[in-house]
Amino acid sequence: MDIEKCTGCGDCSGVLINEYHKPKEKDGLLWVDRIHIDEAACIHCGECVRACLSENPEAPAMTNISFNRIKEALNEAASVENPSLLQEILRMSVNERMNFWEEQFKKCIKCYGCIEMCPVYLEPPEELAFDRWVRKAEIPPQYPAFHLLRAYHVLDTCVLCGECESTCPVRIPLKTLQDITQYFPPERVFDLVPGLNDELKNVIKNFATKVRNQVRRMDYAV
Amino acid sequence: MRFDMILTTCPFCGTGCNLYLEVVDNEIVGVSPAKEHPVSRGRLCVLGRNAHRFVSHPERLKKPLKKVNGKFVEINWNEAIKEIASRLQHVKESYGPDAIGILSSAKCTNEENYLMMKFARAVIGTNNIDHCARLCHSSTVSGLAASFGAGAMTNSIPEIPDTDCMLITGSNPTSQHPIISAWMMEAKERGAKLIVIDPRKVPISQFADLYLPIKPGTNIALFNGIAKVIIDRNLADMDFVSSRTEGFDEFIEKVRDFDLNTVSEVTGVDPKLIEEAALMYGSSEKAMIFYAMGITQHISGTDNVRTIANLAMLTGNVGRPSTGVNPLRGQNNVQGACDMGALPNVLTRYRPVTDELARKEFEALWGVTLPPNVGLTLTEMTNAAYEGNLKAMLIMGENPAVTDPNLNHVKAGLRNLEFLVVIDIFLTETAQLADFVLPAATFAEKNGTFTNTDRRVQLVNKAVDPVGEARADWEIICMLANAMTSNGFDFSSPEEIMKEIREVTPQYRGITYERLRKGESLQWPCPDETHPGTPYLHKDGFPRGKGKFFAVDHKEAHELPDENYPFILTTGRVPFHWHSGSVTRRIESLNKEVPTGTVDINEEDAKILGIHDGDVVSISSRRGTIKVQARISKAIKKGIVFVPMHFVECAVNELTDNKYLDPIAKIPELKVTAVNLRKEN
Ligand code: SF4
Ligand code: SF4
Ligand code: SF4
Repeated sequence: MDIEKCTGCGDCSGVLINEYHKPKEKDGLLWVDRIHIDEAACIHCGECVRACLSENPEAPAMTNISFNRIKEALNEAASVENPSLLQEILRMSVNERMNFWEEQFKKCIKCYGCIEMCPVYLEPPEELAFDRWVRKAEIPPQYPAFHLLRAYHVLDTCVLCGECESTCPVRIPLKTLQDITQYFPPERVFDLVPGLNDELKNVIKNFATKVRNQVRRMDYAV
Repeated sequence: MRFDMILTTCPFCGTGCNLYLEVVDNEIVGVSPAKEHPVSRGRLCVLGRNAHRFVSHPERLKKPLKKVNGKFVEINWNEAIKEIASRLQHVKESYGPDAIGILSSAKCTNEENYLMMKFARAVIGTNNIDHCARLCHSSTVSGLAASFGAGAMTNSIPEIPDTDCMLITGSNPTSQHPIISAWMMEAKERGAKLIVIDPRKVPISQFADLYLPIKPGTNIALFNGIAKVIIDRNLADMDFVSSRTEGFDEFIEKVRDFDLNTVSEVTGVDPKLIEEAALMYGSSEKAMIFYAMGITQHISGTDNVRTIANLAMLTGNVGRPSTGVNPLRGQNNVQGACDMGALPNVLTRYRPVTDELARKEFEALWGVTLPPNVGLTLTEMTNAAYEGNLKAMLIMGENPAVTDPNLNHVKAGLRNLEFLVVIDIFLTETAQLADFVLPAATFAEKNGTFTNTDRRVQLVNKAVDPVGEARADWEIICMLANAMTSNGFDFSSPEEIMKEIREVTPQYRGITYERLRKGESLQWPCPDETHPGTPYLHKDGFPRGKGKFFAVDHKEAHELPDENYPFILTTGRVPFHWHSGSVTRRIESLNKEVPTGTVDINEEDAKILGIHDGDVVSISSRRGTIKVQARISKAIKKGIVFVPMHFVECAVNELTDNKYLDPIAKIPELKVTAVNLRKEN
């Protein structure tokens, strides 16, 4: 297709479905669909929620779906019957969380897929570069350092699309990790994903403070 | 500006993941995983995600090269083909066809391997054709052919999560077949048991219910010991044994008197662990065995494979989903290269060259007379070159000057040739020794098919034009054959070559490009165009009729440690590089992760020798010495050291031995070499 003529209308995604271009292939074939957007077609940047809240503080009508989901997760952490993963993590003790994440992270084969497939990943800030904190050539990479660093590399850009999780060969719940790092301040994150050394904790905290005004989602965290 | 997404198959390991190459105006800008693919499911390992990064590397060969006074000069294709054809013809006429040896390639497509074996047999008139499967799974082919009658993975990758027990031995799937290891972890999360047998605590052993640290080269003793426990505890599936197998009486005779304490002495594994492993494997309803180089690369390789087949038959773990004997094949198309008969003893479909009927069939189709004697294997070819009996070699997409055992000997052999032609994408260490080098196209620049480890025949689709004047290997072979005035090489596309392959290979008969383009995922055997392919083999019977038990004895590795060479060296791969490194070492992101080789040394051994992490040590065997940085590790057994094979500056194959081979498969013992270590100052 000719990119220069593409207006991004998305019509092609309807037209192009035939026996070679199966509809279930959301990502591979269609330019406009390169970024997988969730059911609600929401990019979760928080802008709309913020705008909507300021216009209509009583009954925000916009796509504050994730905001509500996180709030629900917190409120119902103790009561729901089929808790989401995030709810389960919130209910765990620190030790249980430690074990939970260890079981997950030690599966990592360091394929860098969570980075390659991320639509918003750019060169990370120098103080959070892998070179400084993560030994090379090791599998699994040091955890939770590798995974938290990656999550904080996209602190101000993550759109919560979930591509990182869906491309992870060993099915680490990276979207949940994104929810946690996006909606909770670092101190809380270090409690929900325990085990990071103090030096790195401080560097991350300082970094988060620096970009704080670009991370509007955190305004809604509880 | 044009933008296309080209679906193709990963060019690295035998898992056979599919991916899209993102192409903007004839340039590949990225890789995107294919979510609809049954094996990779939208996931890739670090190699697949970097699969595009070598295609337009500046060091790609762009023109044919000829060595003049020790230096390469560029020449045009016509001249190159004409000169090569006439020099091959000359060697053939002066010394006979068997003075020429040909190496085909497990990196190339099925179509190219088929053509190369046709070239060797029909044009040159020799069975001296082989490829790197000799160094990896030749003992699987010979071992499983003897036990079952077919040398391939019996079951499928997507069946893994439904198994009850996985026994992984001599394989490091996390590094070598990362996407398969991801399936294994899924099985584990669903509650399957995991037994890992390996001298190194490979990463997947962190998840193991049982980990057996075995001494390299003692597999037969261990598996016979496990079989003995299974029989003693009445866990054998006697219905299966009596209805589907033969040779059980001799087998039981052999293992009956086994004593676990002796097995433990030989293997270095605690008898309790052996017993537990036997109970775990033997009492599982569905159990899968996975193995790789730790089983095959021994002088007892064929017998090792047979003892594994014994275990599976003993417990009835063959011919059902989520069971079986599952060799994990290394190269993207090593299964295909073997299927296509790029081997010195068989034609396609594994029909022996010594079988007159088989030869007649091919002779009728090709219109030539075929040589009836078994040809030289890859390991024998370099020896013959060294001794001067082999005069010329044609090598396509292989780099024996890094990957073959006893490199100094290999290189001397190659130098000793009168005439060497190499077809490759880079000026590899082997190509540097050649008289002519022909520039080939990469997987992204040609069409064809690869067959992955679970017998899935998959399309390779051209995404961009070849760089410079590079040509697809199949075109090069056709040009050479035509220049040697041979008929039967007028193909205009790989699809046409596939038509001929299907004619002579019943397992592939139903596999057409059309079906593959429609997105069907077909595993051979697929005998006709309505057949859906075969996810698991031996359902109702074995190709050889009954499965055969082999009563085999433990055989010591040839080169055991002694006073002068007290350590056992074992070789292998790291997850960030591929084989001789000619591709992956040119990919910056991978090189940054692992820039050079290291030697893994057990921490206690290191303490005794006064070696610290990062020290440079020299490792010597009876054949050579290399210098390499030490990495102190708890993950390796005492007395054993590990060096990866990718790095030419510390080429571990300078140490390995090429003389002592498995008597049937002719595979060298790459997993056991006696060495000593010395700290460098
Ligand atoms: S959800 Fe994952 S892939 Fe998507 S933007 Fe955030 S970090 Fe990137
Ligand atoms: S995608 Fe998964 S396995 Fe790959 S590096 Fe990221 S977390 Fe690790
Ligand atoms: S697992 Fe093998 S086939 Fe799959 S992406 Fe990695 S190297 Fe390629």
